[in-house]
Amino acid sequence: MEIHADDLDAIRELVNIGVGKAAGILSELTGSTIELRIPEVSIYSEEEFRDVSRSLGEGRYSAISLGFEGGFSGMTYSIFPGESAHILIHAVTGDALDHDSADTDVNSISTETLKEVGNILINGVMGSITNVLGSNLVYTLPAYAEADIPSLIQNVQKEHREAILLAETRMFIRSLDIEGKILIIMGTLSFETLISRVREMQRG
Amino acid sequence: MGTDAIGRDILRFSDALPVGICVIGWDRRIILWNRTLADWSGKKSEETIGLLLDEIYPNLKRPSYQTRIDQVLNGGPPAVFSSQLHPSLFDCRHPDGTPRVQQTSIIRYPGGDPDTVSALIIIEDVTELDQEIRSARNMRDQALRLAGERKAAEESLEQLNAKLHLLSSVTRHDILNKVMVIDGFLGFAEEMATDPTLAEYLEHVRAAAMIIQNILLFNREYEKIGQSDPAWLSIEAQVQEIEPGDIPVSCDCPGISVHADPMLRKVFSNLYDNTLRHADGATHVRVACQRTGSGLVITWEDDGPGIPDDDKADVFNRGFGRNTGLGLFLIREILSITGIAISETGTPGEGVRFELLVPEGGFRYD
Repeated sequence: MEIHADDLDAIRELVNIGVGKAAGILSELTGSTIELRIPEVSIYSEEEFRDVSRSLGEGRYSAISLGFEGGFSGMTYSIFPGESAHILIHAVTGDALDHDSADTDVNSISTETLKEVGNILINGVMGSITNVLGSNLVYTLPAYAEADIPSLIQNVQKEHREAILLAETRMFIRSLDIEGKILIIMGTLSFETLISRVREMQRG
Repeated sequence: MGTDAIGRDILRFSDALPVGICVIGWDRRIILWNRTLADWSGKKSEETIGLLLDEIYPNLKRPSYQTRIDQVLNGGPPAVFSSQLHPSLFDCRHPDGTPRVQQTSIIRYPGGDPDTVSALIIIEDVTELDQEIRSARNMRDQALRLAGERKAAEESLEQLNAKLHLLSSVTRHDILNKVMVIDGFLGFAEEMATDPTLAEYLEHVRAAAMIIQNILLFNREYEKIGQSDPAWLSIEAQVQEIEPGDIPVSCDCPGISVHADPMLRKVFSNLYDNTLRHADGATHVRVACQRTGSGLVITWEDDGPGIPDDDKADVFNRGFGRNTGLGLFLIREILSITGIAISETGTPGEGVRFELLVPEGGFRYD
């Protein structure tokens, strides 16, 4: 299915609305002003994404995942590079960040914090998208993992990873700059459903 | 099986779980309140069923909670609430009254009447995990603090050592300069002395000046012991570094290295110096190595007169001997850095035999 520039613009807008809602919730939650940069959104086939993931680097990411199925099936990830995850935890909890500390381990309690932040981001974006789809989906509980991007993709069932929507954003909390990405991975049918609904929405 | 029967089964099932379970309807009224949650909250299910959730817990009226719970009830994804960002959604306590640290998840309840929206709230008690992590962090912070203090102490010691070394070096340099002046004027005085008694006195003064000089030179060498980390040193290479003299030295320790202070070269050169000075008539020196039950024995033997039995006990003491009395003392100190012992086991009249006892682990075959 061919993607038009208008489709991408519309999806970008949906993602931006979702990310904006997430920023509001995170700001209220942490008591700090959190700004989320307008995400850059791209859509790839699984094969195209292999080249992209190489350019994103081979490092491990802290990843919060949310599976969904129903009229639209797949997996959404909110991912942060290792150092960004470490900074993010300290930023939202208000703990002082010790740049000299060798402690960049993310312990169990911190993973729950990351899971919540990722969950808020994912829910913002997925909420926006499911409003367009107009269908109820069944979700898994969010889960936390640390892995490189190709491994995260491989975790998704083959029939649900034929198309990948990548949204890249940056979070600014108290002058800290935190890099984050959202991956929405779905099968071809689900992807075509999404595009069709987006076009219907545009037609009004 | 009817709806009520399923409901009773679910209730019994949820009562068996070690987590708090609450189910609310689309209107946020409580439908299910399991036994664990009743124990933790102090509120029995019959007190809570039918009530609005935020009547019992007004903190849940905050917009950030309302928005996220509404999203779930409206068919959106689950919401999770971590212990670090939320003290507790539901006020749950331990028997001693201390609050339970919680992680809470809210997910659209997939069961029940499909036309009725409800949400499942799962509350996990992570108090113990939280305490263990804090305890581990405290231990880590304490260890880092101690390591930092130790590092600071080491740095202070290094600075002090450097100052002492500098002071010693400057003082030694100044004294050596004065000794040279003494030596120079002594030479003039000796040339001018006609009185034999005066000449004898001047000779004693010169001898004393030389001893002062030798002590200072020894002091300079002694300061170097322990300055560098011990290293693996080839015995044959160390022996080859001895400045050649009239007496040949043979070495039979092929491929053997010992773990020693880098001043080890001084050990062999001092032993050679000892042979040159005191082994009258010696024609050769032999260095050999032999493996024993307790380690490695390195022997230094010459064919000079040897050391009298009466002197053997004192030969390594500082000040013993006809020269400075410091050479063998220095050798013993250098070797002791890595646990190598030295003794003299020769037969008087047949030559000196020094044995260097290297413990297991202190030598290797290259």
